[in-house]
Amino acid sequence: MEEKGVCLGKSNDKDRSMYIAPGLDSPGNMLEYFLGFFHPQAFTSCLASIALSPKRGSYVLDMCASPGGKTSHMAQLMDNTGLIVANDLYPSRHSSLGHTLERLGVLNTVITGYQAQEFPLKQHFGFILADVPCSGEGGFRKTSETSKYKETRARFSLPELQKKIIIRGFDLLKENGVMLYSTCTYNPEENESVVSFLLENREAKLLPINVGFDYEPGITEWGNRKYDKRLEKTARFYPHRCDSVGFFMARIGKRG
Amino acid sequence: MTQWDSSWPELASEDERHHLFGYLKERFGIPEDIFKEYLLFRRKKSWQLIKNVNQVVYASILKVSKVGVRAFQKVGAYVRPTTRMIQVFGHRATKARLEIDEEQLSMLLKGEQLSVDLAVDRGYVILTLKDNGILGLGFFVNGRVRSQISRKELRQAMLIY
Repeated sequence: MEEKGVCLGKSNDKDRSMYIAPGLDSPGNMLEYFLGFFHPQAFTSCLASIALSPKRGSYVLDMCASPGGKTSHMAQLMDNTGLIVANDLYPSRHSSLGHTLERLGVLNTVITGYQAQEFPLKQHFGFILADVPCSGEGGFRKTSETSKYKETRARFSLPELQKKIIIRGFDLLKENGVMLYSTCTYNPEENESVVSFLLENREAKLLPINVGFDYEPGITEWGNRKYDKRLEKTARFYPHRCDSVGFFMARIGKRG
Repeated sequence: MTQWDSSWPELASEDERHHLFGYLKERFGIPEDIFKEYLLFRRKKSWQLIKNVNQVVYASILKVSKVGVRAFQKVGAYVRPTTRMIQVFGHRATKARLEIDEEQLSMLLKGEQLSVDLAVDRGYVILTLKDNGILGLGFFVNGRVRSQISRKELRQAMLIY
């Protein structure tokens, strides 16, 4: 790719699965894309898989997997070992999800179509990624000027859905398992409030996040609400600091 | 004994596995035993390949819409390995490989055929791109090769970048 004039930079010294390619337009039009040599993602989206870091041979659930960037990144971190259940409710998204996984040669994945908040409680996973549907405020800077943020009713109902998903995700976690809750929004109602809800309702603990990149701690106050001090362990990524999409992460553990 | 949810495709028989993987061995020299660590499922006109790991037993009770990578598909009376299957395992091939350059690839993408001197019987050949990766399959007949790669997936525009 460098021979073609693409400027590739290492994102940090800790991880070798991710490169920064500033100024790369239309990566989907590259031959190397067809060959499955890379998958383009926002920098902060890549950090989600790294923050979770599923181990080789583990059993992983990606609760809201489409279009499969994070799923395939986790498969790479696992060296294509173990098994990933890539779940997405909408059958129409399974096609793009399946295409991403096939193009990148992912051989350790099955696709399911459950509602994330009702994923069957018949088994437990060592690692869970809950990259939930969100209002997407983190993408404001990259959206075109003509696009407008819409305050729809669906947006207001997101926190309720996110709370159901985080609780179900936690209940599906093995003892000593790790879950990553993430959104690409700034709205505390979809971030700290949701994690706070989990802490109030389950014996969850917040784990440190080490992605080799600086971030701001989660907030502990918003409007009239005060959150648990432990929420400082969550991470907020802002575009002016990381030159990418705004993002929120909470790394959650289940006591053994 | 694993109890598969009815949504799972049917597990391929030993004979079916031997038939399909044996073809890869016979045509391309891809060792059959590398597929021992994989499960092969059949769904209508295609076969899916996935790593055979302990966790598949847990997942077997789930309702699935897709399993692993589509490895083979039936085309008329024949069975053909998919582009992605060849891209993953083609590096183990020892024969029926054809290295082409970007100019030749451009011709194939235009729907043209390449005249080549290959010491193989009529049938599929693995197309590799000089100094790059495995593209997929071509079909060799009467000294000419035509592409079997989807032009929706591999577009002419990709050669311009």
